[in-house]
Amino acid sequence: MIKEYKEEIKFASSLQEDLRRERSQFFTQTLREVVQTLQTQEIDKKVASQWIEELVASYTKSIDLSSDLAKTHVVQVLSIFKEEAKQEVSKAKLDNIGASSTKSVDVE
Amino acid sequence: MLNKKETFAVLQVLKQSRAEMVQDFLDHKPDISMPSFKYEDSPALLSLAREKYFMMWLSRHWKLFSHEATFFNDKQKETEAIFATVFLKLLGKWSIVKTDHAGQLNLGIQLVEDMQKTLNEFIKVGNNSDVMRNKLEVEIEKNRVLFERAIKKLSEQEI
Repeated sequence: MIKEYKEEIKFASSLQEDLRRERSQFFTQTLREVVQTLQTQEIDKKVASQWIEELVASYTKSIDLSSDLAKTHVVQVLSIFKEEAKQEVSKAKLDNIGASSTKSVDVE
Repeated sequence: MLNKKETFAVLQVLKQSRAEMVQDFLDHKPDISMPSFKYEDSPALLSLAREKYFMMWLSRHWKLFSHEATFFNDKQKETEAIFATVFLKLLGKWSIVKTDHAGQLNLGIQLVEDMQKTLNEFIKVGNNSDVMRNKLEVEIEKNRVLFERAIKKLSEQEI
């Protein structure tokens, strides 16, 4: 069962990893490039900082939504996995009970 | 509930939109550069222009989502409804709508379009008031010069 879900789990964690990487790249590199571009254009410092402020706010809202959706996907995968595991355990228990009662009948 | 393919598509649309927004800044897009200079000394108009740009960016999302839904041949309508909830969730982050019910998609699109139109109108009024103020300044200056000329003429006559 773990084998069956391996790809799903891998996919879910890669989504989260991509988002973490993108967020970090935005704040460490992309934002610096945007600031430099506005400086090169000789846009007034105060005006530029207002644009940057709104860019960061909008970017953050969008990437937060992406993270929420990725998390929801992980929770979904885990709950399906949990549910199937539960069913597998119940099935195994029933099989065990069945096997031992057949055994005791045989002994008798 | 989003399946694997839908989750991936939704995250791709959001990522692409974020990248396009950054690219607009790096490409000196006129919607950003022009008001930055034009309204450098008019903070209210500059704020309207900024809001207009971000509204435009938000509304572009739905075009990408509906285009992405066309790749789900077998269940395009259902996928579109799922994407609609994500788009409404996004608008909710800006408090434009308070629901993510797919049935409210048209309302969400309409609200964003109306906001864009209203911001445009406000900016136009602001531009016109600048024109009016310039005309007024010219009139004041003209009257001042005419008055000085008249005084000069009078004093020359007296001499």
